[in-house]
Amino acid sequence: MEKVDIGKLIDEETEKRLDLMQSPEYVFPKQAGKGDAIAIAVSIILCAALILGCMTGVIV
Amino acid sequence: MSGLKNADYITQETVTGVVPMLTGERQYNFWDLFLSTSGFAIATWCYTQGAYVAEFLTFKQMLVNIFCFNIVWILIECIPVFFGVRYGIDLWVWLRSVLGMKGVAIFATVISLANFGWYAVDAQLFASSMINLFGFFGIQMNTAFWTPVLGVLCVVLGTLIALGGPKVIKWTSRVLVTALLAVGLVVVALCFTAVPLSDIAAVRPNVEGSPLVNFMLSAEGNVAFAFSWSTQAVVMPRLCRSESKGYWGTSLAYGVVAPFFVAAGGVMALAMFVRCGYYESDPTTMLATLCGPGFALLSLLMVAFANIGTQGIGSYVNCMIVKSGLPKISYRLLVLIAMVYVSLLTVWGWVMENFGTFISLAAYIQGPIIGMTVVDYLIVKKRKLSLKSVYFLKGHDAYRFTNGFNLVGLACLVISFAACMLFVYNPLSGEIKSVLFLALTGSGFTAVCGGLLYWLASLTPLRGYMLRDREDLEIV
Repeated sequence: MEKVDIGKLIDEETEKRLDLMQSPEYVFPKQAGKGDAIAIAVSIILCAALILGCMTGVIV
Repeated sequence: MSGLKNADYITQETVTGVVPMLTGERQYNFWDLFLSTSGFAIATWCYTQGAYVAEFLTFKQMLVNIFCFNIVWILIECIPVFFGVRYGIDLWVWLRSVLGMKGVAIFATVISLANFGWYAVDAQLFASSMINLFGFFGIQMNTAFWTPVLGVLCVVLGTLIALGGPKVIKWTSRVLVTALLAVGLVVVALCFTAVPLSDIAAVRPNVEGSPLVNFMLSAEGNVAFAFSWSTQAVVMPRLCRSESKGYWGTSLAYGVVAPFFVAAGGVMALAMFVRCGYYESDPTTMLATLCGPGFALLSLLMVAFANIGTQGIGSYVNCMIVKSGLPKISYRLLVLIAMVYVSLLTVWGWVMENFGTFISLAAYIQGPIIGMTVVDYLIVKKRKLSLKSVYFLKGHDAYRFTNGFNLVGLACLVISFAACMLFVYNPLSGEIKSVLFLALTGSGFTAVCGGLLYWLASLTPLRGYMLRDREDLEIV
């Protein structure tokens, strides 16, 4: 039986896929938007405020 | 190997390997990712963590400490999920550009070996809870014999799930995690029924030290808990179909669901203190004492299924991490090696005995990696990576660095780790060495320090060494 180099097989498949991703027809998954960034920032600020409340003894 | 077998192998290497996953191949929607990740996150260690924090803080402070530190750090450390989903790769493939290929091979293996320590704890908690459960129904089991046997059984059952890959994980999680979430809500409701909320809220910690020190020592545990997911968090999102769904499916599971179960453990521990005068961390004992032996059966679901699910998904994720550094090793072989390794750790028991020290030390390695990854993605590389260089295709050598090691990234990691141990907080001795600990915690300091050093390095002539890829950005 012909012996196949697993590493070579992975490399060839990876190269084929990267070529596909480079083509103008390839559609990447839908990108995150501004809403995501705002939700992340607001959540972090709210949590930081509550943490600060505990650290300063406002929340006991 | 026939053509068909080659195709099968390639499919396998895409789902359980490092080959980038194309948009059309993604199997997971938001709920699949959210439930699978939650299934991974929910385990008995959540209750252990909650019971530990409950001793040091008031009820309100405990909730803020558990939820807020977890949410803040999970939202930050999950930012790389965006590139994971976009390119269909995991964190460790990106990290080849931050640590170098050999750097990734070493750290991916070291961190996975450390991560597997969690699964040994998971298996031991499974065993002790099951023994307690049988005890409540009058069946006394020999602890010395049954603890390792049941622990190894948990590891073996988890391995069967891991061998099934993402499809089995997806369907197991859909059923299991939905049930677990429902049980979690029932358990919290039962605690508040058994002991009035006003009594739980009135408990005051009876420990020495200033309230701020106690608050930040508890925070150290929660930040380390949040960091423990970091190197595993950007593995499954590559299976997801959109960046937003990938990000929120991951961060809500680690940032809200896991802390919810930690908080449930805290509430149960406080309720136990009100009822019995001592804190308890075993969910089976807590439920049986607070609500009657019949309710201890609920813990069968909370402990047995949750821990086996965690073993399975954890084995998949960590074997994928090792594959990022050592791509030519078969996934099945890695899962089987992991089974043997975790079984040995379970029988040995060292990690369980030194749980707090273990999670802090692991977090000290993960912290700088979190800081550098976020800074690298958002500020240094500005969300653009040379995919061809990261896979070392012929003629694309931007990330070969110095014999496979990115010396800048490695130096930032080592300096952050050492600086924190020497000057901020030593988890081995429990000694606080700087007021920085009271602002950031030790683990938080390592992340901030790692990110800051990496960013500062990119402003010096080292920038040319770190960013050799700017002429090679063909896929963006």
